[in-house]
Amino acid sequence: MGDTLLAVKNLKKYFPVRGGLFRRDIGSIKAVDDIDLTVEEGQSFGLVGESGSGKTTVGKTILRLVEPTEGEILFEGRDLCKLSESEMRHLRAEMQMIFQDPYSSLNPRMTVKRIVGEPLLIHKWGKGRALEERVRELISLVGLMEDHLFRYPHEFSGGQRQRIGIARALAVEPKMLILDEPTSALDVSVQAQVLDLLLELQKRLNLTYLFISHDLAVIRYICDRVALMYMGKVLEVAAVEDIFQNPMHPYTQALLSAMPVADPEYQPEEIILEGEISTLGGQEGACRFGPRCPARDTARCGKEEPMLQEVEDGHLVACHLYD
Amino acid sequence: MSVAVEARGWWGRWRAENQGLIEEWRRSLYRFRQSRLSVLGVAIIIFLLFVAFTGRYWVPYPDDAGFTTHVEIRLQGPSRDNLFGTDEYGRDVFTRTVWATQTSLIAGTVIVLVGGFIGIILGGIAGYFGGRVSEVIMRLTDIMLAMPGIFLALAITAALGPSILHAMLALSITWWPGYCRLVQAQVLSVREEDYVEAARGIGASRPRIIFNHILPNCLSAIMVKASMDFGFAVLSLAALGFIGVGAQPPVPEWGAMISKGREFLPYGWWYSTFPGIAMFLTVFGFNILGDGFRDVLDPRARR
Amino acid sequence: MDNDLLVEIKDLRLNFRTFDGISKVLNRVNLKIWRGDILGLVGETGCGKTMTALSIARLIPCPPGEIVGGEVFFEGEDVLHKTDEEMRLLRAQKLAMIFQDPTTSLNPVFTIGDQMIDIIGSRTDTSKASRLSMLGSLGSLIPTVRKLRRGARERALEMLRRVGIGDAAERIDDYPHQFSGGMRQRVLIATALSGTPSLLIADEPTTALDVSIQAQILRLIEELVDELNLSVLLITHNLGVVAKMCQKVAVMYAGVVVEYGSAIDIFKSPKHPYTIGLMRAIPTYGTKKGEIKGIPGTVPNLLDPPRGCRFHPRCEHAMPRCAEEPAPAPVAAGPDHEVSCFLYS
Repeated sequence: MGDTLLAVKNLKKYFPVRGGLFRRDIGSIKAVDDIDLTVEEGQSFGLVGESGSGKTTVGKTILRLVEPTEGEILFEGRDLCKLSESEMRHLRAEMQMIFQDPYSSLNPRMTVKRIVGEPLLIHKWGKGRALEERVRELISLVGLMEDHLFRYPHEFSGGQRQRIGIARALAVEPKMLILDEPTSALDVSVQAQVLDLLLELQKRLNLTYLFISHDLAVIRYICDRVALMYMGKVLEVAAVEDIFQNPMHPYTQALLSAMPVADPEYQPEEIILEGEISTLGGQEGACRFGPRCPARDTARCGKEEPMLQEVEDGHLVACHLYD
Repeated sequence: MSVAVEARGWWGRWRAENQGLIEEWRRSLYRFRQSRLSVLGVAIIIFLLFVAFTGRYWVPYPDDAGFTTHVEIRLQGPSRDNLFGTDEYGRDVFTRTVWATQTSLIAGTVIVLVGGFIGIILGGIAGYFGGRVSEVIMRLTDIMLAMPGIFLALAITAALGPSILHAMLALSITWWPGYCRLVQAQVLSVREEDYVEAARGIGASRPRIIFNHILPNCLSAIMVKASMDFGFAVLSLAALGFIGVGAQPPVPEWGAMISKGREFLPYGWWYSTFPGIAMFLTVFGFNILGDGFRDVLDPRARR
Repeated sequence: MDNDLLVEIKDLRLNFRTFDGISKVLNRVNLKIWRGDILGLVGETGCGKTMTALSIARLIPCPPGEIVGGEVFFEGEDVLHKTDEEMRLLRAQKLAMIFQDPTTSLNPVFTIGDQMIDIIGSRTDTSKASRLSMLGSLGSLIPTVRKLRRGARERALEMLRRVGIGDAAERIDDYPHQFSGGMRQRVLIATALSGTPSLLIADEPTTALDVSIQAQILRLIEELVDELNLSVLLITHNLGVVAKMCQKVAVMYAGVVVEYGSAIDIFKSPKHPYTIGLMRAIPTYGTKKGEIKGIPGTVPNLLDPPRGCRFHPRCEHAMPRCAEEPAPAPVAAGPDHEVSCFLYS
């Protein structure tokens, strides 16, 4: 694979929790707690986790739609956190986001042409004729028709709207797309269309994807490398086949076994986890997954937080089982 | 769904480019027409506008809008000559009621526009920027809301001297808190929508986000409130007139007429009644229009 | 009449009046649910899955809905011609329903205990039920009502414990927002199964939940089905869940059941081109890049559905007769395997 395009180092995002009469800070939700990620050029990097794991916050923090509490975000070697707001605005052309909900991510009062043309206007790609040409090109690139140009979002189906969102993101030829559950609101047959489109676009435009999802099957289909998140921490990072063939972290194992497989004859033995993810951070200095872990060793897991370490070649796990 | 985009003259091209918009309007119109009451509202308002702007050319006694006296026919009941009867100076109540329509409608428009404008600006700032700015603006709004606007207006008019212009001015600058509240709440919720985040993601500047993405999506709520509010603006102006700090004689104004007519109520019911009916019609018309607007513009009814 | 047949829907046709015209939501739906089966009803958004299920409980809002034809039988009784009171009792005693969003199915201003007691109360006859629910908590001042409420509360506690809420006695007086999504769904399941139902209609019960919670809830449903001898109509668009849970599967497309059969048949030898397309569209274990294929085109507008077979505009095997002749009737494609497609007739 190629060079490193995006490197995230020690990224933290704490949301203050206010309470009491004068709304003082009484604590914080550690949505993202000290994570490192490296995404190579042309790669599809998957970020998996259940709701509350902080995966969406990571995506938004990288684009600085949410300001990070601490850490470095290096994009092509430049630290995004140190850029001023206007520098950041220019840099946004390089990195775009696709949102989960195609119903709320398009302004209901703008036509498709205005929606797709807006980034072009902002980044001064052209006006009038040139702009219209480019918008038409983008529209056909994502598989929509020309007479869709002057219609409003609510006239489209979910899959078509997601295509509009993709066209908008691709308008200014970004190097990287951050896709936040782009297909989870879509039906299966449409999901397959959109996934295929994404794969094709990646090949054609040499895009790098950061693909955020809770759907392991989709991740496996799209991604080269995967990081698994739980309560703001990365628990396991590996090439996608390694994760699926040889899951090491007990949480990964449980998730994979709980993933329903569309095959009535092949139903693996399930590991059913107890309890639920809690949003209010775990105990300080303990394994976050500890309380739900089927393999927990109460003495150690409750006292010491495991660090992410390379167990096999390119396969990193944060679990005391592998110390 | 497919419409030929080939341009047939500018009209054809315009239609092709705006087909989404046209469709939108057709749907809105359809939904609006579904409710008879709002159609009635439109009819009332068209009628009022017609009366207001052509009235002075066809009223039977244009001179009666000013200081004329016909002592011989003072306080006559409705008759063929004086449809709504006459007042204490023998002036035609019909003429004066019609004449006052224009004053009321213009005043209502000015009050709602000025008040709405101030409210949208302040509410927009408070909603978008939040923080301390918002605290200051919203607490000021709370104070204004806690004080009956009409008293404040009364104080302002009393200070400036009674006149219809001052009454309008006073009401305009006390009219904004409602809008400020509404816009702030709207902006707060629209600001959290994904498409606003998406706009930030493509690098849109603040003004672009506010004017292209946030405000257009608050507009429907503002329009509904404005149309409902219009009637109350007219009513408040009339209230000031009634108290005597609004329109000054001889200018015909509904509130002042009702107030004057009150003295003669026992033997001249028509004097207060007809301006009252006109006022009722205005408030009623705009209210049901607002209802219709809400049906059309409510985003939940869309899709 | 077969005694093992719990629900039979015959040629059901349903229209919805909208301001754009009449939407033909269901077009000759045929469906059978046998006792003890878990039937998966699969299809995309807007294909009429939920409406089919609601028709069994006669919960379709009419108007704007209008049943234009067909029959629905539940335990051999004609559901469409019952009185409202008979229907209420049937729903209360024989049917259990759970829905997708566990948040909106609970009223946020009452404790879950109060809500469960009301519903448990309504499972008995009308006079008692109305006394219980109309008086609310105030009713406890009247001795007979108090006794009824106490009984209902006992039952609620028992059910909560059964669905895995261990500290039921402490949680019963909590408000819905004090529960997590998975716990709320458990509460709803407890409420739904507090009567003596013979059919559980589960409409996307785990769609809003995380994978690990989904696994918990599915396991719970499986256990309860065994224990209470329930039949289940499981509505979902997640084929993985269907493969895991169901013995029988019905595939719906645009208001028509296009294929019906055992899970093995549907997944291993699908017959209808839509089912085949659906199976090809999902990435599963070991699917490589570029191996899945979406079905081209979009779901038809039901205001003006395609003539003939509703799937033909997206079908790769479409023949002239698919557009010309009226929709194909179901034909047998094997034992207990039916498909509605001209390819097989």
